[in-house]
Amino acid sequence: MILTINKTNPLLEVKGLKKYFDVRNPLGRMEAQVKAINDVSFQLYEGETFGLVGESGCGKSTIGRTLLRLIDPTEGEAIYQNKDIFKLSKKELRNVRQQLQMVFQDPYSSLNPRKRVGSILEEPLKIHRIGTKEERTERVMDILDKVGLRIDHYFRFPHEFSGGQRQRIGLARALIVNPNVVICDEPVSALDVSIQSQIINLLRRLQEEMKLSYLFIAHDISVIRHISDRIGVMYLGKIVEEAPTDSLFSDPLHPYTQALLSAVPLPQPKDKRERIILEGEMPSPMNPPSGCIFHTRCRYVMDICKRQVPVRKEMSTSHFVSCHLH
Amino acid sequence: MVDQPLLRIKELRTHFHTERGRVTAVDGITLHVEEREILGVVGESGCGKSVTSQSILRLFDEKRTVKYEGEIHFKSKNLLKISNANMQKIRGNDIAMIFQDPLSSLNPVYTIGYQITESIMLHQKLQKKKAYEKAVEMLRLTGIPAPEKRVNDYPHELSGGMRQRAMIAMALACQPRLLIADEPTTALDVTIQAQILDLINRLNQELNMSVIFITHDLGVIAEICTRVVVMYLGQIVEEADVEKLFSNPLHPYTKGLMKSIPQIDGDRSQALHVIEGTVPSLHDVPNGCRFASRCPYASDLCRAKMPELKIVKTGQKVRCWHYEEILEKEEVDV
Repeated sequence: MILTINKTNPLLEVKGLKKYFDVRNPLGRMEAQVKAINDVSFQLYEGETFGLVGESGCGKSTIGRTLLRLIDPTEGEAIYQNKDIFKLSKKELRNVRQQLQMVFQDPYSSLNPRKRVGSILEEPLKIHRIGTKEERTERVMDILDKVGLRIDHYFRFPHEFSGGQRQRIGLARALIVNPNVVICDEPVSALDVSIQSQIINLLRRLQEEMKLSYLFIAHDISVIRHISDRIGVMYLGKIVEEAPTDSLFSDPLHPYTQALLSAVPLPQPKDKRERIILEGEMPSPMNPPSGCIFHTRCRYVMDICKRQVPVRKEMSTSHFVSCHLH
Repeated sequence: MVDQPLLRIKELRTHFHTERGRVTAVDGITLHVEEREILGVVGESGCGKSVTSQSILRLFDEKRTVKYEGEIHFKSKNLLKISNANMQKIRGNDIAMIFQDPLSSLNPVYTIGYQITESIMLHQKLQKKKAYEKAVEMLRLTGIPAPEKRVNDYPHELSGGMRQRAMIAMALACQPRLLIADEPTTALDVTIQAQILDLINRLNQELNMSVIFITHDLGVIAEICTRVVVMYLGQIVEEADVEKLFSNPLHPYTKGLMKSIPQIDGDRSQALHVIEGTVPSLHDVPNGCRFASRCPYASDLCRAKMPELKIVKTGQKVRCWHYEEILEKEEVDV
């Protein structure tokens, strides 16, 4: 964990990001819009890990993908080095993509099964026109060592590796171009417990060695807590609470955060906590509730919640919440 | 205890014939399930926990791929010896199963009501109308709102949590004595997982039904189970009451697992504990203790000879040569 975070100048600043997917009927007429990301803003500072946590369908992965323009956003800005990523030309975007890399969830489908590990790792270097052939090979060897693989893995195919090793390859592929920011989309959720801890430790070690900033997207609250400096809790396309990790866990303010934290099963059988069981399910993002998006499942719902969208307030240092209770 | 346990498995071995030769995915499992208890089976992928549960119901193709050895006693019958027709009577009726992924376990072209009704008619020989009413009742029991309407929905019209409820409704429709739940909450979100765990707990008490709960998540185990079996590479390495297992784990693998999960109240500045290496392949099973290659305490004895699953003073069972020395050493360290 890097404690000297430069709080004045964010490395990446996302403002008012929206992504609506059109739902069309078989005739191609637009029927509705899925509001996958609905006005999200956050900052990523140098050397920190910002965690995005939420349940499936809350839009956390969509955020990661729009930032790399794997999908185009509907509205909003993402300022990186004084430029809006969403307005870059193809050529400029290629430069930015070298500095913003991504690690995917599924280490099985994110590696080309027909390529040897060596050429999988060399490809990003070729795309970004880095180094001569010999230099590239050298860099691949370097990065293999860094992520804990052996040099002779260079000639192997992805199917010869276990899930954990494949995730190391995925990580190596992201890091080989020396990025500043790595977007990790559920990088450990497909892995077994004993392998998960290996990868988490590796991510943290590399962060210090290579001065990386992580946008860490996950649904596992214990994992997010372990790795993040700050956390944003997402529900139905919005960040409902954002806080430094310790502050969020000692004093969760939003009723959704409280329910989410209490739902995590603890490996301590004697310690039975009072669980807050949320009734029902997340409403459809096609037709989000009026007012506060959480009011349909909230324990403390008031009249105002149904009518008015709560504004984001800073309750203590860097601890933000959007809720009428506060 | 005077009562016979509901299910007793003795020295179960499940062999698969593969292109690369015979593989023994389950290698000598002995365990029992008491009436009304929730037995947890925990382990990582490839440890044989799912194969064990599917062997109980004999779900594998016995003509070609699989060979069972050992005994599985249920209601004074050895399930491995009875005919296929008799086995069919037990499946669904006495022992039911729910799976990890409800979308691929439900038939997409029939309504959930049809599928539940079908299983009730098949196993309980009820009239269609009666069976249909029962299906609605089961859906209500699992907490699906407006079950009269939902019963006519197709699987794709339900959310993940609702689908899992529909699966549970189908499994429980014939009031089985034993429910095998194979990672039923792994694909669900935590808040939905909490709902389903609550439901299984409630049904276990209300319906007097035993449960075998298979999962890789130690948190879920702690939350729901009374007794736990820890598996590694086809064998049981430790068995204990849930409280003992968490307060006093004996096997180095169990200890390693517990330390390697990030705790919600743990110290974040520390690196996580790591179990070095990976699970060996089933094609290449070590001679001695199967955990020896990853164990920090491994000795020559461990690499040469496999330890037996022994009962120890605390009532736990553990498969380790050195558990006593390790305990003493840890006490000295503290």
